[in-house]
Amino acid sequence: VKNGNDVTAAHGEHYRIVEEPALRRVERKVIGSDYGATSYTTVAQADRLARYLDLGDGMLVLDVGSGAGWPGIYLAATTGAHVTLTDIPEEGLSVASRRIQEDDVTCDVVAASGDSLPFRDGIFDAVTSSDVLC
Amino acid sequence: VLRASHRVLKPGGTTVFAVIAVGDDLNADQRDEAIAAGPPHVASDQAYPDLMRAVGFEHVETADVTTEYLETLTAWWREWETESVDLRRVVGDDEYTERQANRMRAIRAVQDGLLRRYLITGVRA
Repeated sequence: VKNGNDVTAAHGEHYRIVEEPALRRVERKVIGSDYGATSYTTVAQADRLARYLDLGDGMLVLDVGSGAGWPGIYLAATTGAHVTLTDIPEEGLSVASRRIQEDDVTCDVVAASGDSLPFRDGIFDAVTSSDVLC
Repeated sequence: VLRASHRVLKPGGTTVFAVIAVGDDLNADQRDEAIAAGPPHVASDQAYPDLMRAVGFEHVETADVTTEYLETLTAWWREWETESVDLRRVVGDDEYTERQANRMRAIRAVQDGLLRRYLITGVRA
């Protein structure tokens, strides 16, 4: 297992440049979106997640290890679900917060580690996570 | 993470985890290469479906999306080559070279069966 602090620092570096136009162009070609993804989930797979989770208007969804908001913000925009994004690197959460405002979607952003989620028991209808456990 | 996710789900709530895992039946050298080539925390010793059942998820099912993972990895490498002039300016020559080398190492690891990607679903009882 690689050092967790190094990983968090590397992701922080990634988020500092992720809004650069060249990076956004590349991400749109590869993933099909431009949220600053750090996972390998494509748009087609995000739609598959939404179908499996049966996401709909007003459902409470938790995206663990959300990074800059992919795919959580997309899922909120396409399904009407209320998505809560959680992650540790604040640079990624800042990028996510800007995108939530730009896209005018219903999302909360909470700085938290995935193994100590600061939420009450049994409050979410669905939980998703992309390439965090790996 | 699995235990915490299970706790915050409503009874009957659903979950999907996309995970990248070390391939099955690898020798020690192959396993070392998988860990080096893969993303952080790839070196889990237990199969994820078993871990999910252990924390209380039911109806655990696994879809192998390794083929799509390889396509996406390859596309990242290819598109970074296409945009290399602008990307070298953004991240610097050293960082650009390192990222592309890491991607190529991961591509080879997936092609050799050392790394796999799964979508694992489950329901809280």
